[in-house]
Amino acid sequence: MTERIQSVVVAALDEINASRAEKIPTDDVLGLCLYGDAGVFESMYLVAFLSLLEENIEDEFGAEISLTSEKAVSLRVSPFSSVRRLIGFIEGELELVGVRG
Amino acid sequence: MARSKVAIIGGGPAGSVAGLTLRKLGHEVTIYERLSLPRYRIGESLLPGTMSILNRLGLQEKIDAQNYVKKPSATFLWGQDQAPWTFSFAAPKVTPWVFDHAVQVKREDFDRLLLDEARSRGVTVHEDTPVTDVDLSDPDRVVLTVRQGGENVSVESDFVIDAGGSGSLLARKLGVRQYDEFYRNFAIWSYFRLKDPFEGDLKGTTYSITFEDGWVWMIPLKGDLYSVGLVVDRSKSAEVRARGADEFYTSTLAKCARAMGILNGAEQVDEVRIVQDWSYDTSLYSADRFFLCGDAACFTDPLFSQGVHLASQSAVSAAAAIDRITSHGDERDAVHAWYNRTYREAYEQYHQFLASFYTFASFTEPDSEFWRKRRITESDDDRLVRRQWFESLAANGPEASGGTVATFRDRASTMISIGRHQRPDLSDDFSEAELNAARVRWISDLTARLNNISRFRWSGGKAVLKPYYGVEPTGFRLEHREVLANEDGLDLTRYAMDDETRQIFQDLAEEEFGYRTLVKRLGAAGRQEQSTQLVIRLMEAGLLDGYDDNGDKVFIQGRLHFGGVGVEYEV
Repeated sequence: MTERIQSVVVAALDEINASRAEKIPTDDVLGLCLYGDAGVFESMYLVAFLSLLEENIEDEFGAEISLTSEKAVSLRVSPFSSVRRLIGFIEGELELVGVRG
Repeated sequence: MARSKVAIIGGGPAGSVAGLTLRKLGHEVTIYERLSLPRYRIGESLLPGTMSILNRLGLQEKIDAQNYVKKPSATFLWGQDQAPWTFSFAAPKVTPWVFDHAVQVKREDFDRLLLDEARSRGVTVHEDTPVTDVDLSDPDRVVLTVRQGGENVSVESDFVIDAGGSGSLLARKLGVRQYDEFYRNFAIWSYFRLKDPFEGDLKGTTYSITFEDGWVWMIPLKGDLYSVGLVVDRSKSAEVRARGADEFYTSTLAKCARAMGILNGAEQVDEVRIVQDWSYDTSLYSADRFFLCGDAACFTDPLFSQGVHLASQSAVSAAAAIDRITSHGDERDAVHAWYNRTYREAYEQYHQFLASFYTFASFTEPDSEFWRKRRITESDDDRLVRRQWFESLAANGPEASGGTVATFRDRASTMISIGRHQRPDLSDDFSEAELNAARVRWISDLTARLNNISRFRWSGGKAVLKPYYGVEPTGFRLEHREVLANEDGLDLTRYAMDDETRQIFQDLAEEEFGYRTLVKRLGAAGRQEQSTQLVIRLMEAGLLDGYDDNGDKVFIQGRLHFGGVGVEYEV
């Protein structure tokens, strides 16, 4: 399932990159920081990216999850600190709603 | 290519940046500077937007060679017993000209560098040459009287930019300056020998610290110097006269315990200086053949270090406007309308920000006369009656999406909660990373509110496109663009729009769908990344109202953005 989720995340990043002058680097996508000191998104752009990702996850897995839930923002290490963390969070949320890889 | 002859009054940052931009655009430029540079100036703390403009004008190497103190953030000890809070300039590099820092400069060196660079690029510079009169009566030219070698000399040009600072000859002559009753302060300051006491993420930051009589700035400069200034009420000037500037400065600074803590007994190494700090703007930023730039046009309390940035931003805009009028004479009125509006909006943005922060501090300093006098509590506050933004706010009432009087305090509270340190005192342990949790929580709350919007209502009839302008971010030419508007004339000028996007909002006007559908459609039109920002700004502009399933209006409060030329920073 991890690989499927990674594909969905990369596809969302590619969609964002299509309209960006300065592309988000995706060569080390798992280590990519989404938000914070070295993040690639400012607040509003992160909100838009997460909305897109939620839609794409629903399309791919047929399940609706929230990436900005209380649970997501309460984690000691933010799911937006890296794509690896985000994938881990998504995987956990999908398992909770019964989606198995 | 059409070419204009432009005279610039003043060789400070506004004059030099205007000269550099006009030369880049191919025009003939002469700067008349009243004094000989270097000369002392206050205003040492810059913003990243200025770095971005200078970078695009090709000055990066020159700036880097100066080894200025790098300024990564601004830190506020704002209000009694409040934890420090920092707003960082760290920003995603969505374009090559986004900067994550500014610099702290000694203005005598910095201004000299800019003026020398303008000269080296073909701008004619006359120092020790005051302009004593400007004759705008001829519709085809401007005639300046300049004082050179003890003689008055007449010089002609196609346009004049007055970048002559607060003493602006044109603002005085035209009678266009409007003082603001709300911020009638004065600043008194000196310099201390002090190595930056903080390492890590606080190194190089500018401090702004409230105390009972006003607030203190602390700016680290090259050579282990600290600029330390007090902003106090104008009524204190009687005390200065009675006790002398040195005694007043020392005893008033001593009242600010947190500033004294940072200074930690450091030695004062320079004289005490004073300047009037009265906020003002102008009823006219440009018309016919003249443009006002920088402090010649407007000035507001230095809390956010915006002085040089407003100067450089307006300078680029004035240069781009002159270039456009030179090649498209029939657009003159439209270009002036653009310049007046964009400059006024940029100024108002800082002014609203100030009102928010002064109002917030007033509640934490309840016994202070200084802060009580600066609190906005009533919508009929006559100190603000002239301010368009405040009139609009007061008129909209508590149901308006734009907010209410209480928003001034709330907005500051929101920003402070996003930037508040996890510890009550300043310390090297502070890390930018510790702010992320609060920011992410704010994002979560915003997302929940947006997702609750099941129905948007478009105001004012149809969604239409209307012509406007924008400065092209690398070439600095003023270009036509179309922006989104309604039939009542409300618009959003921040984004260039096309018919595909307009149609989405026209569909929304007819179908009244919700947030998720709207961002999906915007994404399909290639506006995925900016979709949320766009929606929030349309709500702030009054073009969109959002409602939840119960039919209740959803209140959205975005973060403030400091604009630049083709770049902006969220606070």
